[in-house]
Amino acid sequence: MTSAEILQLLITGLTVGSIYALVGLGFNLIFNATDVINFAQGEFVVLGGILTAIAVGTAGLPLWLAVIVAIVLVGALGALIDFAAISRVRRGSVMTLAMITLGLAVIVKTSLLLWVGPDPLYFDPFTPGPPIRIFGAVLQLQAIWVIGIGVLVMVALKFFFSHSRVGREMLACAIDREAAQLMGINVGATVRLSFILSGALGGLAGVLITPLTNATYDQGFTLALKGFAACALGGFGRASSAIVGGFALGLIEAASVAVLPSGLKDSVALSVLILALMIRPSGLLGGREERRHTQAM
Amino acid sequence: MRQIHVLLALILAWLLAPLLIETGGTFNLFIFAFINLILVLGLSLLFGYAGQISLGQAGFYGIGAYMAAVLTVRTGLPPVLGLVAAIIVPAALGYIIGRPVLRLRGYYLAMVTAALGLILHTIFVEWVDVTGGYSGITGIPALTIGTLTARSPVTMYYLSGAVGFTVMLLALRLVDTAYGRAMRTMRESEMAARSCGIPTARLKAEVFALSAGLSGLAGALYAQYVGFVSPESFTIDTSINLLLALAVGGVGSLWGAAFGAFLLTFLPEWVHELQNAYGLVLGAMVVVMLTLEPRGLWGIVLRLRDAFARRQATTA
Repeated sequence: MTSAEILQLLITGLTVGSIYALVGLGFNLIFNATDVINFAQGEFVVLGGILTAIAVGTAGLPLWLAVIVAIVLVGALGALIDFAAISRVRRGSVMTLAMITLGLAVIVKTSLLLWVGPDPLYFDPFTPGPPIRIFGAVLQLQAIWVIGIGVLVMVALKFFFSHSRVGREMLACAIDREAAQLMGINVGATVRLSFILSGALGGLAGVLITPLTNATYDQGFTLALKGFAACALGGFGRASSAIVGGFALGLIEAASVAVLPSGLKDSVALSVLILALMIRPSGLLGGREERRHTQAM
Repeated sequence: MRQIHVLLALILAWLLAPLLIETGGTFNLFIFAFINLILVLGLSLLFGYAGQISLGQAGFYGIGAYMAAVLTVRTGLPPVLGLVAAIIVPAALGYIIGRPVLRLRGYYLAMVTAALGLILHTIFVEWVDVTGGYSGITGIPALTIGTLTARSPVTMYYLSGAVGFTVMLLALRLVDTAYGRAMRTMRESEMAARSCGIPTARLKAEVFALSAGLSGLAGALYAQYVGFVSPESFTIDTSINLLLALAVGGVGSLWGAAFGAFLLTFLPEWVHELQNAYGLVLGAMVVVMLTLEPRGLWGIVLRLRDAFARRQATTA
């Protein structure tokens, strides 16, 4: 393998890895506030991409406005999910809530199929122009956007959870909901906010990646699985772990495409997830201890 | 009314129903309902009773179907042997995989089993020499036992029903034995189960193998009846639908699993004017049902029964 090929592999891996990390961070937001894994996280991403493509293509909005509309709408869907379903569950365990999100994922996916059909949707990259060549490797301009915004969001979230009051309240809700309530934290509003942010983050990931990969209604679950793998590789409940895990996963995938048929790409990434969890069930960096979410319904 | 009475009444209805059923299409629906019943019962034992979630059932379902297809079409073995292999191979694989994988819990287990299902699907697609890739395998011979060949809808209706009812009966027996109680203890608390001397690691793998074997059995019945298999029947969507159907019917009850299996079969028929829209209906049912009653349709039946019993008590 030449050094240009290795550099190319790094670029591809980091680009894809940023997306997995963003999906993983979306998981983390809701998980940190509720101990629930939102199975519809991948659908948020697909929805973000498809809404932008429609706003640009059919409605003729300028790209920046389309992006904002898409992110706001997906965030609103997050709020709606919490308002209409999650916040109304009185009995049942965390697994019940996770199953509800699985049902919601199927609803979003089927709606998208009925609405836009099975064909991939697409819109132009943020900045037009030929890709940059560095030492023989090709760097798409959109990839710079993906990695750049990805890193920016990750840093912002890190500070959000460690330094802002709202972020710390969110963590408190997950660690002990009753205790958080007793400390005067508005648990309901905090959870609602986590759903909104998670939706917006998923929508943003979709907006960033669609010019590179297109958006198809049925990509959601695989994306969710990769995002989860990113979290799990790093260890759940910490923002930094999703980032490390996402990049690791992206690089593994890029490397597998270089040596194996591309149809095996997903299987290789997922085998790594399985093996990693077999060796270190709490993630490579060691995550928060499993508690309530370990039980069945 | 005891469970066994309900079951006997259902068996009687099943035996007599062909007097009322006129079209082959209706028989087909019931055949697929019985196949789904076996699948959802397997998932119910694993998730509802033993507390181990799986989003990879379609993978074992697929292995069963491909075992039945490959052994008969490519190597010319009799269909019965294909059926037997379709149970044993997924069960053995389930045990071998289950032993390490089931150390994981909750979400981790859900995602890892989903990953397993996706990997198995990739194998069905990519291992073209054996599986035929996307075009699949055609001309799978029908199941033949002695002189009886289950190709016509009526024969298969009775055969799949007999298998379905047998599995239901055995499952109802199983959950009432010490073994079944050990499963439920493990679901409530693994630590409590271990402190009672229950070998949880082995028990989990055994139940996982059992549900994989049942999925394989369903796969063989499907392949040998339809005569054709291709990867699109064994996607992650199949696994998700099975779990959602179980959730609507009622996790933690075999009768709930039966509700779910029939719902999963008949729902696409009822909303078939809308083509793929049944995903909307199934998804909405899960959301509404779990929000209001986490025990599913079976929970509603239990509530009605309790309300009825209270009414009887006050009027008496």
